Amino acid sequence: MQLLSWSYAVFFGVVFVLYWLVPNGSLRKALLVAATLVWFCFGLWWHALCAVAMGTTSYWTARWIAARPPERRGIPTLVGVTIPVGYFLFFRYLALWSGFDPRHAETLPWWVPNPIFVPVGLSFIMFETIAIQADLFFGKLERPGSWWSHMVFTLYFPTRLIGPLRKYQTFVKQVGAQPRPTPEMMATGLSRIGIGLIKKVVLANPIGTFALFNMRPEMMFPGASAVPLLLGLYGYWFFLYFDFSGYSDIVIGTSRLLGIEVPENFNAPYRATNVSEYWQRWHMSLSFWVRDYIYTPVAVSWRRSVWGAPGGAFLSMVVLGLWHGIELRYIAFGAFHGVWLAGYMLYRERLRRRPGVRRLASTPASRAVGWAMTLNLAILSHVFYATPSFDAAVLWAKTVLHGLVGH
Amino acid sequence: MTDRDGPEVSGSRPTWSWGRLARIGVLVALGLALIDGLLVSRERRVESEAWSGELKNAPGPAIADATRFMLLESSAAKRQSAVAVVGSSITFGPDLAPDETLTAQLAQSLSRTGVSRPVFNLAQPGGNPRTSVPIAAAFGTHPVSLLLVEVFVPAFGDHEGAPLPPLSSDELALIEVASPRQTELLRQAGLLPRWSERVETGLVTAVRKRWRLYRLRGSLWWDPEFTPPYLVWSVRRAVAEAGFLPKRFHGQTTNVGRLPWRKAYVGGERPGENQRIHLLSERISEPDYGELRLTAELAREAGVPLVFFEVPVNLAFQRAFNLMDEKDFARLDQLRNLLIDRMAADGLDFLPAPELPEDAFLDRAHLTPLGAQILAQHIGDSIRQDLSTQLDSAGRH
Repeated sequence: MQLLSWSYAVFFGVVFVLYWLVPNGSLRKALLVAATLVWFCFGLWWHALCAVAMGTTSYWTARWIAARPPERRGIPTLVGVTIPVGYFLFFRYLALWSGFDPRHAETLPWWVPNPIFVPVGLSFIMFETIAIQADLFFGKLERPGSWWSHMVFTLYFPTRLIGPLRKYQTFVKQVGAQPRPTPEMMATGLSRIGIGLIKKVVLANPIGTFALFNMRPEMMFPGASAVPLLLGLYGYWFFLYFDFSGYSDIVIGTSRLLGIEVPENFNAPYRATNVSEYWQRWHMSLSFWVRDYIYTPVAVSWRRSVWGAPGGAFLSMVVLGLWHGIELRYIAFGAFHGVWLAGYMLYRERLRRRPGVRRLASTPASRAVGWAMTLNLAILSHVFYATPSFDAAVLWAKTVLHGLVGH
Repeated sequence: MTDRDGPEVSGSRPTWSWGRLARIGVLVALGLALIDGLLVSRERRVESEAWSGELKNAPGPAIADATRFMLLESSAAKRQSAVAVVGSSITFGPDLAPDETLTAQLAQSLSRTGVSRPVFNLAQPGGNPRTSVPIAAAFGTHPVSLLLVEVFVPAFGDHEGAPLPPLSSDELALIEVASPRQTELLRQAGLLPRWSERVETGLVTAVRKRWRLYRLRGSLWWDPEFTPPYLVWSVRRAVAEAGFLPKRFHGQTTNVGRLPWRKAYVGGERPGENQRIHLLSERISEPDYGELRLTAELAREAGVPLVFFEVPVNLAFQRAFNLMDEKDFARLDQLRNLLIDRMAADGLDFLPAPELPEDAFLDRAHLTPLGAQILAQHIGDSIRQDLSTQLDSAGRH
């Protein structure tokens, strides 16, 4: 069931009424779990089973970790992290590695799941359950909570299609905490949904039509004008921003109607003045996850090396790119941002310590230069998303360069 | 770094009350009602354009059900005089002005020879062999006088690419009105909606019937006046016309000059690789052909005459740029012959494409106004007799 569908609107309306009719927190958790199972069945019923299985294994491994003293939590944590990654690889990539051709169903071995029917929310569940295990290991989470708490966290339907990624400890305590709906809750929730709809329907859709039209392969040929291609890519970035942040607004708004705050995903990324700030404003829930569970552990373990922090940043960005798919273009996207972020960190650590450089960097002119550079590089890096392959991205770049500098 | 999990800290929040929320709700409802009122004249215009073949469906996610349902929900007498045309962007005509499209020129061609019939453009960019299935299904209970379905031969070849996409909720809404015997055919083909899709389809239909803004969203979308890119393209066109940028945009809705391919590709410029027609073999793609046959069976059940009309491949274009090699040409030729034989064996009415001059094409297949005119004339000449017979028969009844 898509977020922008009439069925979803009616379904959510029913859940909303029932949620506020149910008197206490535990029953509300059960209601949300039941509602999500129904929601899954609107797609494929066995996706519900997969989500329940992922939540349950996460619950058991979390209990296993919590039962051990802190110094002996390594192996259970490793198991707890490996299982969701295994689920993810099994459903998403096994078919690809088995040589499955989507046009010929008979090429799919019986023991391999069809990648067309990847369980809904699979990657979000993977990230969120890994976070539970890691938080227990690092002592950020004391107890794993009940099975119902794990279920409501793992299944919660508004965030299963588009995120944002949540933290277990913050989310669970909010479910059922509000005794009754308040006008403020309704006003902020509904207005956020309205903003999301405007972003998606009024802004993202027309900009996306325009952008995708101009990014078609037939627009890229020797001698083509660079103008439509550049407009296409710039349009694509804004389309992506309005589309994704519009959906996120709808998720945040609907959650508020249930008295639940889910994390923000975007914070005006077009205002960033450097790449570090950019990733604190763009797809924030994912970039903060990457920061907390990849960058920080790597940077800490490599802390004695000059390259520890930049190396961690580079690795984090490559993983972030790979999350979108095991394709050369996504690796290129991650590596581009990794090099950029690592370079910026080195600059910040080395050059900006010098008083002269610091003074220069804080002037409005250099901030303006930083803003322009950040926005333009971020947009240009999205060529790896806006084109269907790495080769197509290279062709786009060649055509634009050719168009700009002439024959 | 920002704490992502903490509640948002905002300044002084407005004081909300249930009464204030209710007042805002009423204002929003009134605003939407006002917009719907303002769209009455727009809907009349859309309807008039639809019946003259000049209205195009919208592209992409906003496939306009406006045109389809305008046809289905019109009076039986009016609908039964209409000719419906289904196809891809070649028929849809994104590069052409509304009155230059194949459908508009077909309506004009029929009208000139005294067989005046409304012609509906139900084609859509990116259309595939499955596009015609839900439309033929809807005619089971809402028949028209004739259904014309585009056949672009390479689309039925053994090619690379993704499987046919599932039907959208708008298309499933068409399937919902299929006759019982058609429903059985669709069930056998595995195209009947699931229960959850039926829920969505039911809701979409209910909302579409009651909300004009929603009903018209597709045609509002496509109308350049309503899209922000129109402003950009207007500026681009002015700059091009002033001589600062080349007067050529491939396949653009506001194409500057809409040049035939010989005039567009000048100075050593070459089309992109995607303009190449490449077939893996001369075999017919069974899934694609299956959709075509299903369309024919559905139309037969509906009692609606159906003609598959061929849209030609621009072979001169392929040769000029060495896009296809000799193996490709041979495969395409064999595929075309196989397809014609197979359709004849299955009793399907196939109208081969006429010879078109070089100026009839924008690229490998999309038509210039001249190309659309010649093809429309050719189709018109072929179907005129059948339509006249229908008219006479209706007159006798």
